[in-house]
Amino acid sequence: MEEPLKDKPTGPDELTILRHDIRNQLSNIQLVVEELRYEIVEPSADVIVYLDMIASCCININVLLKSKEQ
Amino acid sequence: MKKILIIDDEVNVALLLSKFLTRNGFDVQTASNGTAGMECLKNGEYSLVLCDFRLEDTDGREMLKNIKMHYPKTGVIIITGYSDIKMAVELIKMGAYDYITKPLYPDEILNTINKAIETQYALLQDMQDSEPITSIKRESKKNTQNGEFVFGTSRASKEILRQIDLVAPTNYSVIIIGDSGTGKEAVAKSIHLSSPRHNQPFVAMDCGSLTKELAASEFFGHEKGSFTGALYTKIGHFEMANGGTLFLDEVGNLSYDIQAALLRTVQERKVKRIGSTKEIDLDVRLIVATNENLQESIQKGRFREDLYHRFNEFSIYMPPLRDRGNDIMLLADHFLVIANQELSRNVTTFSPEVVECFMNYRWPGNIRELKNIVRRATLLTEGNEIMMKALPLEISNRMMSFDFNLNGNSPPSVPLMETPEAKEQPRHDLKNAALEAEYETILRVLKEVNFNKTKAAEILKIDRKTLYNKMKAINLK
Repeated sequence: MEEPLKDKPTGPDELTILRHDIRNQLSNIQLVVEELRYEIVEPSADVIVYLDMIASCCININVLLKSKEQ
Repeated sequence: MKKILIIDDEVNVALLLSKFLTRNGFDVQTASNGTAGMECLKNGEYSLVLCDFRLEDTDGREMLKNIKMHYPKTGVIIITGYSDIKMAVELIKMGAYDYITKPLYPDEILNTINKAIETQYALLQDMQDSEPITSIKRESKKNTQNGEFVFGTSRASKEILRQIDLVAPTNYSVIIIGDSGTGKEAVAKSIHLSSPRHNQPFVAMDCGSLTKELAASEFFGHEKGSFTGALYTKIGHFEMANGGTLFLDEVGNLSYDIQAALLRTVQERKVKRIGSTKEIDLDVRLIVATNENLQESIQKGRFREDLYHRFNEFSIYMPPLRDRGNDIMLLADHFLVIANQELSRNVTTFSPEVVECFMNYRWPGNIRELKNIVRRATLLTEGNEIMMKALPLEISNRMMSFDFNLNGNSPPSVPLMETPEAKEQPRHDLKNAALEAEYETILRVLKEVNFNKTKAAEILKIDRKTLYNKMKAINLK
């Protein structure tokens, strides 16, 4: 498992590294959602909505991270 | 199959990405740091490397430099959590195919990988133009012998191999008919690898697990915003397999509506994503598999005859394992080697009783069951020989009743699940009684529907996943 706040070779500041670590976790969530879509054989309409919500929340978190980069 | 190496020190990302890509027809290995990654590259030829920029012992730039120097045929995609345009330009100038920023979106990454492999393949074709044409044949032979597929030496196996050799170089659609666990997907992969499409994707799709609502989107894909919940564009399996082979497993379970949509795509060789007006030309070879009698389904009005004839340009019948004679022990030896590697054991042989038991058992779960039983027995074996006690009770007990029947005696009065130890326990154990009843019901229903798990789950009124779990728990899978 990756340690948080590990040094990047080019030496970014702490906030950049934090964004990197958050994006790693967002990747995990996105990939887990994809696995769940496959694993749950007959999802109810609610389950589909919840999975979509999780995926869209990840997109929103990334948009927030990007907006703070500028 | 395309080999991909994922180098990422985030174990979860590597694991999930590996699962996702394996499901989409790639052969995936993972490494958690640069050194392990270079070691993997030394031991195998990879079409593509997905490398995280930030690694414990090195960084993406160094990895890219090393890979391009030692393995120029391998494509590299760098993944990173930093969105830095300057770095992206630098990496692409150094030879990376692409630079993906996290978070990773499954469809986006699949699309990039397919494009990267296509580009890499085009480059390789330029480099290999002078090579003799027989290379395809050589590769197909290698794949039947490298441990991935073992076809055996029985007459039935030789016949299957002959049919694969015959049909592989053509563009014919193929129906593979056989019971569950007889190796239908292995045959489909083998046809793909022996065909001129061997460098293109092989996409496998399990039609048994598709719901009516999901099927269209899975087959044809959809555009972002085409329906509620379509948050991003999805590429369908037909498009994913473009140029290569699409394998549809348990095709008899497709709903009638989807069959109609499929027929149009198969006939026209064009696909339109849901919500899009653009038609995409397809060049896909279809291989389908079924464990039910499609002719009967046609008569009952459950399967479209026109679609059946589209699929049935060539058919291969997979005999059940019990009819494959010497192949049983050949396959058992093969699975023993794999199990030894997996579990770091040194089990070398099966006792004569086990061999006799294997040769006489009915193998309702076919090769899959044999594989599971060998793995389990290897785990339970302390020495170097697998003995009867390492076999599951349902096999050894069934062999006991088989012996009784052969000798003209009545079968033993103990039920199938009962062990000698169990005999000493009180007979009124409600939990055991429930388990036994469950086991017998599942087995009976599975036999009734010819081991079609989707149908069995329907009859048993449980979902498919629960059925799989129960089968696993009682060693039926």
